[in-house]
Amino acid sequence: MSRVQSRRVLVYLLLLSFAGLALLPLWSGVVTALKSSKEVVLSTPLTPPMRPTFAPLIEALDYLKRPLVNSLVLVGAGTIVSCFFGSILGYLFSKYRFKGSNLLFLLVVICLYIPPQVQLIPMTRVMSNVGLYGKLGALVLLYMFFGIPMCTFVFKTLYEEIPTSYIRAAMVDGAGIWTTYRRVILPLSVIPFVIAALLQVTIIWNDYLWGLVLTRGMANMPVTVALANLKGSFVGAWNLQMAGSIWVALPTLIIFVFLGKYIIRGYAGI
Amino acid sequence: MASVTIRNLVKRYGDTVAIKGLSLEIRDGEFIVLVGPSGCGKTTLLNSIAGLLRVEEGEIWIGENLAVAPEQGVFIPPQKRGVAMVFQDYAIYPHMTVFGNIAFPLEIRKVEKKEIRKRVVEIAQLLEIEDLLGRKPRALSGGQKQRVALARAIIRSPKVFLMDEPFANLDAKLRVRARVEIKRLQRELGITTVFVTHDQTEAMTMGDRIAVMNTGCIEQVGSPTTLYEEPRNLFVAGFIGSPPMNMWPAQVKLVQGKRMADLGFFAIELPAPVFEAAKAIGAKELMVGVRPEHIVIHPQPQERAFEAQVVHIEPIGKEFNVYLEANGESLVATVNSVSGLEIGQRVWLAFGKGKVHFFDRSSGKALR
Ligand SMILES: Nc1ncnc2c1ncn2[C@@H]1O[C@H](COP(=O)(O)OP(=O)(O)OP(=O)(O)O)[C@@H](O)[C@H]1O
Ligand SMILES: [Mg+2]
Repeated sequence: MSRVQSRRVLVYLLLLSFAGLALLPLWSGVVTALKSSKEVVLSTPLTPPMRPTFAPLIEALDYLKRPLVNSLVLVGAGTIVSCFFGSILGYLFSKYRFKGSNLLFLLVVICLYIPPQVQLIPMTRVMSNVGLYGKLGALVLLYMFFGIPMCTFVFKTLYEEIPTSYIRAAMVDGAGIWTTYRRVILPLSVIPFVIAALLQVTIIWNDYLWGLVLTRGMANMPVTVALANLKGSFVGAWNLQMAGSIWVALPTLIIFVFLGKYIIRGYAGI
Repeated sequence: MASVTIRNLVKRYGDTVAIKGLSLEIRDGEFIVLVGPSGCGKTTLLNSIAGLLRVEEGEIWIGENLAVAPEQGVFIPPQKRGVAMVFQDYAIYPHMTVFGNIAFPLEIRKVEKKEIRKRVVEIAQLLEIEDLLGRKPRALSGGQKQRVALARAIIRSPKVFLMDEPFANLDAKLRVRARVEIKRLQRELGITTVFVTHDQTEAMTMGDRIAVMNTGCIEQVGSPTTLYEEPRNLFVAGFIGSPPMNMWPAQVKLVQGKRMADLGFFAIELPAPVFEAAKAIGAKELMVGVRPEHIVIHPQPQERAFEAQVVHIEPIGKEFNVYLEANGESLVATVNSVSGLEIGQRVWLAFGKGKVHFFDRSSGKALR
């Protein structure tokens, strides 16, 4: 073996061991989720199950099914509404510069950077004033609106790439603002919609704080909050917790594996 | 079909004034070419006519309709003006087929499906693109895209046709073809057309009239021959023609009882009307201009000629541009033959009779 080759082997070994290290928690989670409660106590977290069982997975799913549905509702409503408004606002900001539009857009961007911790108390007050505190509706409303600045930002940056001459041509050809949006911009928006939607889906699905603060009871909880409760209700039931975590992580895991490149584009703002 | 009348148009971008009180009368069915240096406001003017920009002052009439009059609060939106526009990048919608692109203006107007089909096929035949109707724009060449853009523009029989450097992305050969084609189309359809170009040849060959623009104003409007032979001022004289007109500063002098323009190294007799015109405005300092093809090169010393040296010879097809130096100033002559001419050779130059242009140096105005 030449020197170059042996060095390359060394690099690969190093990379492999890092990858292994990174995957260790996942491995541990999966094997633990497949063990019975007795085996969890008797074996190390890394040993594969002697007698694999799906019981913890089934039990966790049964416990989480309502919160899972809640989270799906949140993701659906939040993503659709935010993307819809984000797309329209992005279109207006990028293609119809008006007096003060830059300032307005700056405000939108600033909204992206307000930490949720600052908004917790005011938002709780608002929700209890409108009678939604503790209910799933509070979260639905919240995600619908909170996603709009981020979506506007994504759509605006991507719409900037659409040549302004398309808009002008459409106008001269006889289309007004909305016809132009419907006939020219919307059909060219597949990628921005995919990017914005993926960002929204992962953000809403993974969010914990708002669900914890604004909802009460299993019927209203998003799945992340319910998952945390799984720990409290079953003392030391590691296998159940791991099984629950797998159910919660699965959708985002699938998204990242297959559509991760779009998410990277979204965060990079390109 | 309609005439376009522009009166005292002013367009500002913040502090910069892009159009400064411009007036222009475009006749019904006319093909007018807008030329001018980069940044002089050609696109701005075109966009104002189309309604893609709002101006601050002035009026634009399209036919009998007042389209723009900010002082009276009149602004007809682009979709209601009956103008069509071809953009420099063609602006063909990438998600529609060629058919969809051409049909777009009619679909927006809710024309019947059958009628649309008929018109699109008609126009496609006229432009020889009927084989491309099913294609997506990315499968088209530059020249084909250009025809699609043209087809989309003429399908709804616009009153006015605006084109902003529509050939900028075509190669030389396609340009010539497109030039002939657009001219033919315009003649057949008789649509009033405003055409922006940087290309001298395009301007000279296509325009019924040419409007020369400079820093937001129109310097001169006229037929190509008028602009070429009787430029109204120094700017137009220098801008129209390639290679540009040769210019020298000169002074009005009386030599042996004759009124002469003294170039320092050479003196030309002033024609009586030029002298009168100069006297009327008290012009003593002149600019003298001679087009390259009106400079005659003699190998031997001559009466009424001055000495020069050949610096470079440039063949341009059937003619030659001869670059010369006389008294430290360079000039260019265009001649049919360069036999007997060599680089470094001493020659004598004379100006064609009656082909010399005189301008007042301070105002730039032509004297004739
Ligand atoms: N959106 C804008 N904001 C500010 N200034 C502008 C804007 N658009 C054009 N201008 C200015 O207005 C002037 C005229 O521009 P315009 O685009 O009409 O020139 P043009 O004659 O079409 O030039 P070119 O031959 O390079 O296309 C220029 O000085 C330009 O810098
Ligand atoms: Mg321009």
